[in-house]
Amino acid sequence: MNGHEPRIIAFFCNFCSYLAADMAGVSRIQYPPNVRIIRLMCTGRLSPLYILEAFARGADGVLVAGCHPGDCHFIKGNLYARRRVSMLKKLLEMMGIDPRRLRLEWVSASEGNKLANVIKEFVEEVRSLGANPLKEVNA
Amino acid sequence: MIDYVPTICPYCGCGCGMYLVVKEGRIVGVEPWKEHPVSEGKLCPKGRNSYEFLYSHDRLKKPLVRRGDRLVEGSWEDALRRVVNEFRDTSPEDFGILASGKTTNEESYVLQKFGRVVIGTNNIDYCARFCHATTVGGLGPTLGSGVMASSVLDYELPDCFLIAGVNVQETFPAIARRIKRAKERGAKIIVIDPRKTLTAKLYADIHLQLFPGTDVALINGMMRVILDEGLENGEFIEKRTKGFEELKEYLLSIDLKEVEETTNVSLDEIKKAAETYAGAKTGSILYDEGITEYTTGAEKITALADLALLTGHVGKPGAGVNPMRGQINGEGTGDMGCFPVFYPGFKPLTEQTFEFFRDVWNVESIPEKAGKTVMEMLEDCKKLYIVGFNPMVSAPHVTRVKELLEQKEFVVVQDIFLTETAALADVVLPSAAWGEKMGTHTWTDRRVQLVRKAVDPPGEAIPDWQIICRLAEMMGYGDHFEYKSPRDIFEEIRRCVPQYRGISYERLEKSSGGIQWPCPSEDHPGTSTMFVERFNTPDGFGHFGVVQYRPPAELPDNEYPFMLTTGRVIFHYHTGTMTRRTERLSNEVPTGFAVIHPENAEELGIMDGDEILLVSRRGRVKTFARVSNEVARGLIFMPFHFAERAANILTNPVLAPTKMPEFKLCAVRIEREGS
Amino acid sequence: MEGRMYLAIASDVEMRRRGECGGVVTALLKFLLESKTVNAVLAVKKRGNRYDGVSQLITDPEEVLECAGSLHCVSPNIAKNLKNYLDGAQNMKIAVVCKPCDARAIVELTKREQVNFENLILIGVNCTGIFPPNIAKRMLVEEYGVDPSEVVREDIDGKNLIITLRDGSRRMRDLEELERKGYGRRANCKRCDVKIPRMADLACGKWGAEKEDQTFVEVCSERGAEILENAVKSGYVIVEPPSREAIEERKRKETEAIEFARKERREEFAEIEKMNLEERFKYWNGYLERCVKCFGCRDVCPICYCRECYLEADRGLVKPGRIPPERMFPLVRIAHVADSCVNCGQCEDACPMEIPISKLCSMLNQYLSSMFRYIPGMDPREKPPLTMVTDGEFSVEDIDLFFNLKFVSGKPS
Repeated sequence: MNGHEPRIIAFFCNFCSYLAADMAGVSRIQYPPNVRIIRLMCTGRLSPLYILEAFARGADGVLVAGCHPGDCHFIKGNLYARRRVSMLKKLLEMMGIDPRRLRLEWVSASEGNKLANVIKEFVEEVRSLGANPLKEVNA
Repeated sequence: MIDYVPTICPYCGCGCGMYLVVKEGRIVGVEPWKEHPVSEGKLCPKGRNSYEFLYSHDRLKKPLVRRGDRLVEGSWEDALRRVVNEFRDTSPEDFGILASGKTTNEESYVLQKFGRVVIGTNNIDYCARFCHATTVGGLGPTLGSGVMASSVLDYELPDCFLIAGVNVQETFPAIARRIKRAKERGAKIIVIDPRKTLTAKLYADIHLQLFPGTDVALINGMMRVILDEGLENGEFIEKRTKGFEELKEYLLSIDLKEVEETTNVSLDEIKKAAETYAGAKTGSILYDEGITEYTTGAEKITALADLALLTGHVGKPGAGVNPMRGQINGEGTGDMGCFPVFYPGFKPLTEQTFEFFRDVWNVESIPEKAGKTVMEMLEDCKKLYIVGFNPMVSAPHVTRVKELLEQKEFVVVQDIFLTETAALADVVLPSAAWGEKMGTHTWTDRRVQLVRKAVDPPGEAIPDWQIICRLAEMMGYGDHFEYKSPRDIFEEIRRCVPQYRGISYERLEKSSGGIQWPCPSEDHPGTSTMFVERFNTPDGFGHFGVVQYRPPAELPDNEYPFMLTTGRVIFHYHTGTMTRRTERLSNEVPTGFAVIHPENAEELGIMDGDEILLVSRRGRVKTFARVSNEVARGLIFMPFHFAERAANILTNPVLAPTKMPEFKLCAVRIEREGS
Repeated sequence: MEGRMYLAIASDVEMRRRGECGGVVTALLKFLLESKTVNAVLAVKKRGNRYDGVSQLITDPEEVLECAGSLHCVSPNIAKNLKNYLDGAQNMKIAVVCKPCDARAIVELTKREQVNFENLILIGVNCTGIFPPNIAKRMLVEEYGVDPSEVVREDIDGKNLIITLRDGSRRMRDLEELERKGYGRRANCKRCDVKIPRMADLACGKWGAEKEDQTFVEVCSERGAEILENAVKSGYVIVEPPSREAIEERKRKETEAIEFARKERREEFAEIEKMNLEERFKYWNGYLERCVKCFGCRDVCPICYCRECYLEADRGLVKPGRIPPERMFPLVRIAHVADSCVNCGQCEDACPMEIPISKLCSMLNQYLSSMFRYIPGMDPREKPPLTMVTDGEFSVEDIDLFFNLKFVSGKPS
């Protein structure tokens, strides 16, 4: 458990959160390197399968960031994402995997700072939760 | 419109009931048969996909006759005429029949009758030679009968299991479920297996991961501990056994330190296992190929029988020494007399038997000399009639088997697909498969059940019994083989096999879960537990046998430093004839592999998935490596289902006294590709 | 006419005798066939004895009588059979006799366009539970001291299980006690709180009946009203309005049964709710590690309808050939199905390693139901919660709008 670096998969949407990450990069705002970002056109594209696969393959945490409700480029993709993430969090909790490992955030294209903070916070939270228990079981 | 045809799964020895859903002459699905006592509406992956192979595009639909190096489709007339001419022109000693563990009882019965009445030979054997020949040698003298003592349904009852040489979770899932239930009620499970199989991982409270083949030493050690601690069942030994003093004398003379060294199992573990088993109220021993498929198989089984007799764990529901027959008719085909030394009903080669069958079969004479076994027939016989048997993948040292088959004067193979063996035949006869014919089978716990016809066989394929009867008719024995249906054959079986006397199609049609033999009369419910009052030995007592440890025939040496053991995976069945033609199953495990211990892999620079070459004194096989610590250091495991990565190219054809090959252990070395 | 209730009996004496509580269902089925309202009837027919049955497609009105009588030990997968083997009723009109779970499953299949709801007439029957056949037989021998083949009828009345034998005698035992001993109904039946199939066209049962040979019928749809009216007009069924007492009695019995079920459910789920995360993980893992990848749960689940399933070995998602399979296997299935689980229990019936899949799925479904205020299987026009959003959500920022973090610390709040 000690010295364990959490590995986090992030799903960002093309029109908001990914641009925010871009902005953070361009503005040289630091955030921890533990996050692997996957760009989707919209968080509405997020099948619960992707998140489950991330956990099954050993991710310690999954971060989903999309546009604020009402701002989605595809109108309501982010709203679907919210429902799906809630379902998955409940599923994880029932199975005995800490639901805090899965996080949803709204980040608009201009919120580069906010994104960096969210990531920092999330990495620390996941670090405190330890390694993903599914890793051992799936070995 | 939609028909639900109740039948039993065609794969393993459990005997799980299911419904085949038939729509417009085609099977479209499998539905659970929840009332069936064995399956309870549940099926394993093979069972769920059981009918798919019937619709494989390469089902044999017409007879094939060899012209040069090709097999060409021909008519039944031509093919049968060819067969009959060859059969006529042969002496009984040169003729051999390899019968099947998958044909119905009726078909197996008719096949051995054909051999004995039409050809006049006792050269009849079947694949049980490869799995339980040593059981007969081991349980025969001790308990009098090599059958499963308990009923599958009763395996919930014991409070201690000794699971030796069998990976029940993968090979007998319906029985594993019962063991699981027993465990949930507090039963203790001891697993004896050189591999950390799934069964060991999930169920074992004590896993004796012994050096392969050393079971006799281990069990002798356990029995010694039992004597030392006074845990033997004195009352049982007194009342129901003979020969205890000799065994005791021998056991007191063994050195437990030596046992520890030989088996590589700590004395502590041996003690724990012995105490657990002896201290149980009802102990059950389950064993299969890991025990039997050795040159010392009969000795190991004797040791297991001794252990059960010593502790009195026999004659109670769920208890006893239970050989697990893995084929759907592994028990039945033997009951039907497909043995070189037994007539139907295990009647030995005595004048009494000959008189009986001359009478029942209405013939002047029948063969009286003991016949040849499978490997002997493959070596010596000039002409072979092979039904539902694929020695090209299942026999040891397949390179030699190929040579032998190619040298034969005449080989006729009767099967549902063009197996690797059929491809070498002179004539191939297409038979109807499970689901396309009615008949009975006898599953591992002596359970006789009906399988029903759901659909018609493809093309010109016909049921095995009809093919055999036609051959008999063409050879002038038509009136001895006048059967209009499998029911007729079964009626004759009832007359010949006393254990089946009380079983009838009427009773079977009304029952779910069949009837377990012995069933002496029509109002007898069948027998779930054997040996309750007496054993099947002539004097009714259980006889202890003193057996000493002998090492397996081929141990590793400098040239071949690794041990190879073979076995199964849940998704496939034996030579893969049926399962590899089932998409879902073959997608799960498309081809063979060899499991290597991580330390060995590291030493040789092998990574998971690498292609490696395994070499033994018999041959070489290219396969994929799988690195896992389920095997011990120095041990390699290969599933034998895959013809193109045939484990049996490497295995040792050395035979036990009962002519069982030593499949489970031989010496190999690993070569990297290109080295 | 919806919501209207009637006390009914079949006009045919033979039907009254053979059928359960007045043979009304049998009479309705015969009417539907003979009037050519439907092409066929899908009913459960016993095969050999009361403990085994298959869902039979009947086109001959005379055969309907063979399916008369309720069987309490038989649970064929009616909804899935309808989809798999009868093309989802795309091309024929079928009347289906269904318990609440079967009707709910059919409603869910309708939402997924797997069955043609227009072609279906659902004759619902009340249900208080089904017994697994082999356990039932053992229970009859060991707890009632009777030969299972002598039983002609089972009744669950409140908390009691009453057996009627061929000679007319009856025996009664406390069902709760039997279930505590390990006998009793299927696990999902114990926790099921939908006893009256109001999602069907007609709901028939014996609660509220004032005589032995009488069925209480509640009309639950326009179509159901039409059918009942026509059946009465054509002389198959005789109806009379129920007294107020009868209606109240029915309500009382329903409430009692639902409370019994909810109590069971609370106790069952409480066992897991009071575990902390680690314990929960170990608990489920202890079961899931026995999985042998038979795909039985997926094959029988009425909600699972993908033509090409993600879990198959050739999809590359779950590593092939390994048992127990990676935890992706059960997680993916549950993630897909949980919001619509109708608690039919077929998955658990099918599992060769007795993994309590139905418990897992219906437990999750219970949370999701309260999260999304959605109960599956009630109305074909409702959409499953993960396939729709509401207008109100556009203006709510809260990321955990639906999620309720009640169980993180492991202690009930």
